[in-house]
Amino acid sequence: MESTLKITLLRVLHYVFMGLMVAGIALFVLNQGNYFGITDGQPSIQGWVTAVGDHQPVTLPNPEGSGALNIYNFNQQQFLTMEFASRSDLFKPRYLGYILFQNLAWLFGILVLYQMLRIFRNLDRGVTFQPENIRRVRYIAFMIPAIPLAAFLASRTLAGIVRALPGYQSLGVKPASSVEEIVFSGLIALLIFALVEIFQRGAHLQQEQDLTV
Amino acid sequence: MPIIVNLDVMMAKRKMSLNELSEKVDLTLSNLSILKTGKAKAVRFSTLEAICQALDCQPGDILEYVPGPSEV
Repeated sequence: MESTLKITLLRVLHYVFMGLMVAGIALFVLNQGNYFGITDGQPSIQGWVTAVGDHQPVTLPNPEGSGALNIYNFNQQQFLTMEFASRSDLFKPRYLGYILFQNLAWLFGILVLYQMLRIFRNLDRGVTFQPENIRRVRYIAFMIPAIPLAAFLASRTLAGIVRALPGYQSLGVKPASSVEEIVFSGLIALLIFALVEIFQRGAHLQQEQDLTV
Repeated sequence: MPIIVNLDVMMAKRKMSLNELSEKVDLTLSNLSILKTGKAKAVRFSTLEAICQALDCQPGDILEYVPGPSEV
């Protein structure tokens, strides 16, 4: 009974990841339509940047009774949509670079979902400690830090584009995503690599068990 | 591997087929085939006992040690 429930859960997870992957691919294709103006004929790029403002603090009376409470608002997340009159305007290294990095982040995300989907399909079929699963988990470990890295590079490129705009020259603009995200996902990747080693040991034991008569 | 499995030799001596042995020792054909082709990594004492009983032989009749190239 428990085994049947487990297999059903694995199948559900398999279909969940399949759905997520299909949604990811659909959004990826839609993004291409937006970038190159295929859907509405207006090429555009969009994304988040952080505006670094040198604002005066909001001063409130200190709730403890004396002194003041100063609230500084240095960083503001801003969503940017840049439209182009024609597709040829888009074909400049900085815009294409942004699209490339953004697409890479999406592709890595889709690949992670694909690997998860295949792993759950294998588990559902009773294929657990097999070299194929180990290889897929290792791919995931490589791609986990690659996603925020590509997103950071895209955001950095977009920040560079915005910094060059006339109205934003006095106002500092920096990437919306931070290096800490890459470091943190790198640590997660190391953890996954450790799990891969454990998994590999499991695969070795499984192989030995299979060849014991 | 320096351990040679002479199961096929013993089976031929006793004129016993793989199917017959499989039924007698209660082992699947695929597992018996793994053992016969020398792909097995380990043999349980219980399996060895059952095979020896079925073929009326000693473990030494089935398993043979031949030094590998590095050990010669």
